[in-house]
Amino acid sequence: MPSFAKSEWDTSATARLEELEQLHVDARGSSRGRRWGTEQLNRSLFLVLVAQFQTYSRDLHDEAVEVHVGQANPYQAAVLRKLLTQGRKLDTGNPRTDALENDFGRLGFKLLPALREAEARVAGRLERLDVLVDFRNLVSHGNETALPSFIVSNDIEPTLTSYRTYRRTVNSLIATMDRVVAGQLAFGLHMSRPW
Amino acid sequence: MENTDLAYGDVVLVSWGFEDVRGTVREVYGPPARRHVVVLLTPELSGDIVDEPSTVSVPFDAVTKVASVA
Repeated sequence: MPSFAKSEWDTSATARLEELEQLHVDARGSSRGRRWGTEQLNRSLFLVLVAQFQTYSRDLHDEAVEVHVGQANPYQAAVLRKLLTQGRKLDTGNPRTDALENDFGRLGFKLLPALREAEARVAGRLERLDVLVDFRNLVSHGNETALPSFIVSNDIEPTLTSYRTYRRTVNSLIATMDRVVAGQLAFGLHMSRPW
Repeated sequence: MENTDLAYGDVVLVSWGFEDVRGTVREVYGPPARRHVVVLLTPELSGDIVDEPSTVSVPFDAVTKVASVA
C-alpha cells in the first residue's frame, strides 16, 4: 500500500493534470502533427506539474513526521513536530532537490543518497527535477529574457511532448521516494514499514 | 474559540511541548481528513521563543484559534 501522499498523487493530482491535458486535446484535436497556439497552455502544464509534486512532497513529509511523532509521548510529540517542521523549505519554497534534502534530512536520513542508491536512474531524474522547477520559475516569474537560453541549454521546452517526458520523470521519482522514505523510517525507528 | 474556519492571519495557539505559543496562520492545506496549518511564529507574538520569523507545520486539530483576522 502506498503512502497517503502517493494515493493523493495517483488520484487527485492525476485528475488535475489530466483535466488540463484534456483541454489541450479539446483545443487542438487529438490527431498527430504539429500544434500551434498552445504554448501558454503547455507552460501551464509545467506549472501545475510542479505544484502537484510540491503537494506530494509536503504531504509525504507530513506523513513521515507523524510516524516519528507517533513514537513519542504527547509532550515530546509537540516538541518533535516543531523541530521537524520549523522553517521547512517545502512550506515556503520550491520542491528543488536541495529543499527535499534539507526537509527530509530532519527525519534522520539523507534522502538524495538513499534515492540514488535505490535506483540507478534516479540521479538523472533528480537533475531533471531541478531543471523542471527552474523552468517553472522562469515561466511563473515571466522571465522571457532568460527563457530562450534556458530552453536551449536544458532538455525542456513548452511542448506537450516535453511535458509528458517530465511527467513520467516525476511519476517515477515519486514511486521511488515513497518506497525509500518508508524503508528509511522502518530502518531508523525499528518498526515495520509505515506504508 | 473553535478553529473550524481558520483563515490567513488568524492568531492561533500552537503546542510547544510543555506550553503553548502564539502564531498567525499562513496557510491551511491538504484534503479534509488530513488538513494541516502552516503557522508563522514571530519573536513578538511568540514571546521570543523564536529569535526571528519562522514557520511550523502542524495538523489542523493541533492548533487553537484565539483571534480571527481583523
